[in-house]
Amino acid sequence: MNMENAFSYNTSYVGEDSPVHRMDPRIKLGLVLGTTLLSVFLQNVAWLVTLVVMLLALSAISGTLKKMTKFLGLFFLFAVLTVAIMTLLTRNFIYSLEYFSPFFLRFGVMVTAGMLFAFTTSPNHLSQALQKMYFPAPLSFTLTVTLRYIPTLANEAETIFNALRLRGVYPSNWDVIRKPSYLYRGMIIPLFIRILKLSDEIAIAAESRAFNGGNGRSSLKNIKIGRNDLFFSLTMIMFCFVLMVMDKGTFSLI
Amino acid sequence: MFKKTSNTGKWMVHFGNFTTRDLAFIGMIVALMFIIEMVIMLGVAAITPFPGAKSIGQAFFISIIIAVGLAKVTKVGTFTIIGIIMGVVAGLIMPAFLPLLPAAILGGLAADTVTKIFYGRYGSRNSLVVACGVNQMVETLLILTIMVVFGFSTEIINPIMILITAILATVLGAAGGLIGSKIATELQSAGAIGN
Repeated sequence: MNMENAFSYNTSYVGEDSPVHRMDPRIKLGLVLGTTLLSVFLQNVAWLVTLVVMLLALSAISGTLKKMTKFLGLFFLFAVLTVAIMTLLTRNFIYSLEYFSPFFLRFGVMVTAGMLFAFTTSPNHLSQALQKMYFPAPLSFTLTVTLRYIPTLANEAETIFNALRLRGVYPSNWDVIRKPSYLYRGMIIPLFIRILKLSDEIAIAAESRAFNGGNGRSSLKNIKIGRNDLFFSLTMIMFCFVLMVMDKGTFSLI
Repeated sequence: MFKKTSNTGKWMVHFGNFTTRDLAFIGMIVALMFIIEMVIMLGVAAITPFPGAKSIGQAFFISIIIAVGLAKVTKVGTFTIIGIIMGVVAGLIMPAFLPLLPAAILGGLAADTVTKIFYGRYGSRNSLVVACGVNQMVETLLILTIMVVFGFSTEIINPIMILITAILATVLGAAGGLIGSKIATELQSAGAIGN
């Protein structure tokens, strides 16, 4: 397995050009927060399903639905396993399904909204949006370092593991439990020494380029809330309001 | 904004008390935490329906990494920064589960507060063990409580189960902190981490 590919942004951000991709990250963040909060208030399963379908429709528009299916599959497996265990405990499948469906739908809303945000927002845009939301600049720098070095560190770990194997060390799970020094001396210590070297290099490189903690940093492309963003926000607010009214009112389906 | 560091005598940029070197190191530590968390999440959480399994599975390994990070950057506030960055990454990027954001921030804040009150700063073995334990306890309690608020079956997660899971995560977190402090001592004696 190629660790670098497994942890690259390709697993998360899908760089396409769609109306959802072009939307301001702050609006999308509002959508994630709003739908998550709304899912807690909604009691009726039908309206929770409507909310999930709306989010899936947005992911279809953004062209990220196919990629999202892989992760939603894992979530679905988790749901199936939970219902199966509950059925074994209670010996009543319908009861288990009814009992768990509101939870998994709420969870589904959160996961789908979160992935919609992650798959359609580049780390650069997220960093810019956080700065616009008064996220301290030095923390923004730390976040950028984290996002940049996730695939690199995964690659480093793989290299260290391969070096161990080249020396004829093939530790099985039992070996690691019996002799943790395989993992500790062979893997963790070299990785930490590499991390220390890398972080020193980053700091020296940043300071030699007159890095001042990131305060007052300008950007070639600035993000700003446009007319389309406002229109989308208003539509979403109205949609959520209608769902709330339907849930509390006499329009209940189930 | 610019201060001379006592260790090297070089001019360094400060964020409060944090130098660029500290912030870069914290960033790298969070990247490593994220990799470990993802491996555990895909390996453990996907095959068990019990939501606390991920917290228990990750507590030990994540705490080792955090303890080494805290042994290098001994300032109070480091855990909160780790919490904020880890919360943003886990809550908004991958696995994009929003409740992880407040849980990670509050976990880091709680660990920093306890360390500030009892030890003043990180560095000693006890401070690392206690901080890692407190962080895991707060995070696990918050995540599982949020699950209950969202309507998860109380037959699978009930208050006693939440408490048992939190205690287990705390013990494993503290054990991870202990191992991490030993690794940090070894790195210090090798000259990789300066005092």
